[in-house]
Amino acid sequence: MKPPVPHRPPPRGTEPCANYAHALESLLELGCEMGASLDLFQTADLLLFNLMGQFGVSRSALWLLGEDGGTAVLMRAHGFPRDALLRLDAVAGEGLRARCTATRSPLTAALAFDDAVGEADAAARAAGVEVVGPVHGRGALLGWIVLGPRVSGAAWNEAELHVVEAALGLAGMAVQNAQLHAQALERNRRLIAANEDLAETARLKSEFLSHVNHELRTPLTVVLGSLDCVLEARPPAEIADRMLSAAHESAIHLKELLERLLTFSDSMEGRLIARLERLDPGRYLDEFHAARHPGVAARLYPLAYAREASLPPVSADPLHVRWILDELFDNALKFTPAGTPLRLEARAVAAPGAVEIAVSDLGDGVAAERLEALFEAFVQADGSHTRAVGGLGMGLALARRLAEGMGGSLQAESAPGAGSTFRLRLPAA
Amino acid sequence: MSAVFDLQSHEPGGGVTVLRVSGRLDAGGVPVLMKRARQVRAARHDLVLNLSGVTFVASSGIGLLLALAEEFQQAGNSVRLAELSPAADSVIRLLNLGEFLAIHPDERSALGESRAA
Repeated sequence: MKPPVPHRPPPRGTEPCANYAHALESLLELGCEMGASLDLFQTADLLLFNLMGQFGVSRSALWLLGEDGGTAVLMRAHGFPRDALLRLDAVAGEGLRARCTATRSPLTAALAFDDAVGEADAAARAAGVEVVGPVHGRGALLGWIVLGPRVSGAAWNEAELHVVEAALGLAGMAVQNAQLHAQALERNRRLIAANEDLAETARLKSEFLSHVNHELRTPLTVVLGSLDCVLEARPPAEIADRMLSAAHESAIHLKELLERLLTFSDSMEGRLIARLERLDPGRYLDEFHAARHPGVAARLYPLAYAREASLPPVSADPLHVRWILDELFDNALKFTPAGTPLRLEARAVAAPGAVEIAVSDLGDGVAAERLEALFEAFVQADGSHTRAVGGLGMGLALARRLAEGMGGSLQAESAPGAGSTFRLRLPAA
Repeated sequence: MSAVFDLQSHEPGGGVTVLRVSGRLDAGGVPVLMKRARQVRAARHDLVLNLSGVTFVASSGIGLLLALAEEFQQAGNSVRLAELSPAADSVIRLLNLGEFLAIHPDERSALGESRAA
């Protein structure tokens, strides 16, 4: 338990306020003003102006401690010369704080400062500070005020300091109310933002399901249509073979699509399993290029392929590597116009030991601030673009998760008008 | 005489701005007057406050007048009060602030002093 904070005894028998009726009236005004304001800065202004008006003071300032109770912030100051105030804020803060932590009652400058804090003492005197007073709320120090010279030149007496203490008690409650109100507004704002994020995620998921429906139906239609035709029309053997081949190809595509969906679902749940094996990346890429090149060329995209002659073996899941590379090529084909040159390159990276496979295009590119969004689930560079080109919006998100699941990484570099490069790194075996 | 706070601004020239204040100079009016007076200070004008329409001056209103007088003086300008209403006059007298706040019987004499300074 904290030790009780010393409290000023009632001012019995001391010199009275010059005008008790006015002091009481001013306190009543302050009570109404503090109750009406929920703005911290307005509360600060009304407190300081009230005390200045009540005691005929031409300078005042209020510091408040931050939410962590650590940093003191100069909230408002009136009448102080700028240089004197800056110096007071810079050097007297800790001295003022130490004094205000030790007392609940306002102190005159003569008592508030001593030789131990000589620099603070000098700064306060230079700024014309005559009274220092702590602002408390529910037993905690919230901040402090300083009051400057009285224009009448009169000295402060005990009773007047007691009135200041009563005013600071009212102000403490008002400051705490204003702080709680500000915190409640901020929490509310965050909740609204979180709610909007959730609504957007729900919308994207719904859109995703609709795309899944479309993507699954296309190959399924080919399978069913081909089989119906063979079974009902009984075409000649040569035509039946072609139809069965088309059905078979679409069924394989469908199976792969379902596997990718399941893998994506696993990755979203953190259950991604990579079947790692020692892989020769040179041979693997040669085979991938040989298999993929005809399809890319058929869509009129020139594909350049270059790799270092000797690449170290890597630890990777061959199926996952193919999915990643397929996704990078599909992505390049979707988002660049036909005729755009594509490049597939590979090189060894010394530290840490890895092989980097880069897929580049010379398309429109993506603005730097939107690059990372490409790797978010359900999100592509632009929602409307997603619908225009089709796709599930999970490709790059899955590709990155697959790369990370193998201990590697997938990064993108791009600039508007300068094309895009995706770099897949696989760790050396 | 309206109880609602109101501020009318007037620039008669010579680097002086006149603000005619009416209604209650309390928690409602103080922030409004503070904002406008600080714009005048930023423009490096002298300020004449015509308080003939003021129906009530709270302690916070007096505090603002003291702060403005101090701040304008530091900036090399002045604040002059003119045509104090009975409500403004009584509280300024009660607090003995007549020597610190420059008080004039009318706007014309306040303007004359501002231009002469």
